[in-house]
Amino acid sequence: MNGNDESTVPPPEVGSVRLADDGTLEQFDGTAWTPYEELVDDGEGQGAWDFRRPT
Amino acid sequence: MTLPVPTDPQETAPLPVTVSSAQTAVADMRATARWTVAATAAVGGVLLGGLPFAAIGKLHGGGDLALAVGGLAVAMAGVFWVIWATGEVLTPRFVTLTSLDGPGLAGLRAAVQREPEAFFGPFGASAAELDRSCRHHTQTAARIARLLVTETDDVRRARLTHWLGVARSNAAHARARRRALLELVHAWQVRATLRRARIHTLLASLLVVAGAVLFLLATDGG
Repeated sequence: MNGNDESTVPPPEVGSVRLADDGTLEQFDGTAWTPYEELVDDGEGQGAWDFRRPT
Repeated sequence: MTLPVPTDPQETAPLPVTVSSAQTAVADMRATARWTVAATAAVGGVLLGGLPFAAIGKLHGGGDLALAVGGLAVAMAGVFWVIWATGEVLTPRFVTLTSLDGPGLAGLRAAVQREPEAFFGPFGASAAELDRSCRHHTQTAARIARLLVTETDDVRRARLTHWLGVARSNAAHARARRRALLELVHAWQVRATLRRARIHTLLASLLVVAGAVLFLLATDGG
């Protein structure tokens, strides 16, 4: 019975998140749990490009 | 038992929405288009309002009259051509990320391929990946919020709250990248249209001059 019960446990959905014991957040990518990371960006959306008026 | 979820700081203090250089460029290009349309309309006004009166008494015979009317029509066709072509610059445009693949944006596509980091930041290497990244981080924030609702342990709640902030920040920055890219695509479309309009204006100006010369020939002949 236990084996049958285990087999009925649904696999995690892709994108599911869980908090690991060390405090990191893990996310299921379809095959494994991988760490979720903060992506540092400059904040306003525009990168290193610019439209300049002709001078 | 459901517990409170921290509010999204983006709702109370969103990322600053500044007028981007792309939006400024669009405003400049539209001002150029408006100036071109106004100047051309003034030329049209002179042609319609001035030339016929100047020709009174100088046209003799059906041939002269036909030449004068034909010349005026040719010149006015040039005026309408300029206004029509330049008016395209002022027409609002529908822009999506797939517009990046459209005609007239080859230069922008090449720039994006050369330096994807400058356009997508840490959110992928293509417009499609950037769009997926927006959805991914927004969904991740929602999933963390669902965990927080049922989490009762204070330490785990604090950690989840931290990660919720991280996911919301990631989503906000990805959306800002997407918005900036849409504005850039739009500016590039307007730029391409304005460049086409300048060529049309040059050709149409030749038509206006040709029409005026025909008109003057008709009156001189009298």
